[in-house]
Amino acid sequence: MSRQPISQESLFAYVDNELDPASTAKIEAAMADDPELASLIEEQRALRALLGSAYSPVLQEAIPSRLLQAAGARAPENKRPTVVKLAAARAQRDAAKAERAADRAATGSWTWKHWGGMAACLAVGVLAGQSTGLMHAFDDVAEQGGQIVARGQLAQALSTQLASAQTAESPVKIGLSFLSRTGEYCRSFTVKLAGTDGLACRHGDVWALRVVEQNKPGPSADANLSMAASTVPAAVLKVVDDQIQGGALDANAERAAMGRGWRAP
Amino acid sequence: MSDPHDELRRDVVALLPRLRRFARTITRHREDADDLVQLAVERALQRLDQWQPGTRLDSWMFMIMKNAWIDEVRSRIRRDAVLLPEEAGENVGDAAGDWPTDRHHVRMDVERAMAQLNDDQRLAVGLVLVEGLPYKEACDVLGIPIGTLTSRLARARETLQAILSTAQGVAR
Repeated sequence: MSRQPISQESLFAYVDNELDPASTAKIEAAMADDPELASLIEEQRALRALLGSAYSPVLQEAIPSRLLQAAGARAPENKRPTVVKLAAARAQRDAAKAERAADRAATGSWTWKHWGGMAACLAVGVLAGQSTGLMHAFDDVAEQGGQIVARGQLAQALSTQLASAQTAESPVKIGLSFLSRTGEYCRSFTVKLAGTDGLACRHGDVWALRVVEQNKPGPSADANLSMAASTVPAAVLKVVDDQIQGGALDANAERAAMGRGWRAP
Repeated sequence: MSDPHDELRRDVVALLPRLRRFARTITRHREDADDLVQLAVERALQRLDQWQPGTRLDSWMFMIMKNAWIDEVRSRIRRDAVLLPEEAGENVGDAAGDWPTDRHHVRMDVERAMAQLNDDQRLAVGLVLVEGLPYKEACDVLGIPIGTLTSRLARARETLQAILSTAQGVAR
């Protein structure tokens, strides 16, 4: 069967995620029985991956203080959140809320025990002496089947909020969305009131939290800190960089992914 | 509540890592790259009123950075920008088991290949292939029609592919 040859232009557009679904399907069909085309596309994907691996490590570097200052943020030594294991966060919270914590421990509530058990894979950063945000954050998560999942407004935002069309009023801000190496859609988020940043990945029917970092003061905290602490925390960026495959989704791809209920293509 | 630009400023701070990455695709020396980021951030903060809500802030910042590069920074860069030894070693070996040597070589090879492109091609590669901007956004940033963008990308790909396929085995 003769097939229209695939132009170099559409080959590049395919690799750059610029084709509409019909043209994408056409290319993928052609790839299936044209190994040469498949290998050309593989080369272009490899080139993109190579560029990414050369340049993306900068995302994890500490930002020079002169740039933070130029952007109106404080130098890092003044605001860098202390990343602690949850057990330490627990101790800190307990100090502030001794009675309630004691009650929870006595009644065997899942909250701290389970979170503590997850400490190896989930680190939470807290600003020293600052625990109100952490408390807020807990309204948005639940333990389910051995993992920490988003619920409430966080789950809703992860499922229905497009980064390209969100308003300043929404309580959760969605950052970047991408397809992970394990083939799940992941989205970074900020719970504004709580000042919590994190990354959640769609796992079955839930949003499983991969990392959470508490690095912004709550609403009542020192106003000086609120600017400085607003960068996406390094711990979250690191997880993004470890898990991302290809680039972040653009507005169209994000919309398409939402249309599929965040099930991987 | 407070200054309506507060959130915008926070978003600019949050973009700093990506701005630094984009700057490094344009200019090879990391100090030049950070100079460029600094200049772009300063300019952006002076004219936050000009940002159109509903448009992408990253694209807007990239455009400011592109202009700053062409107008100013390009003329005073460190001409013989080669990686200094201490700089070359900076990113190496901090993550255990992270094939630091390979990663280092990848960066060197890619930077050498990128150095063979002209400025226009490097900007297109940085925006589309590294930053992942859609063609439409990249065209707006660069102020060029889509055909110009795709032909710059095609030529850049050809050059990069030719250099890197021998260096890295991209074309297996």
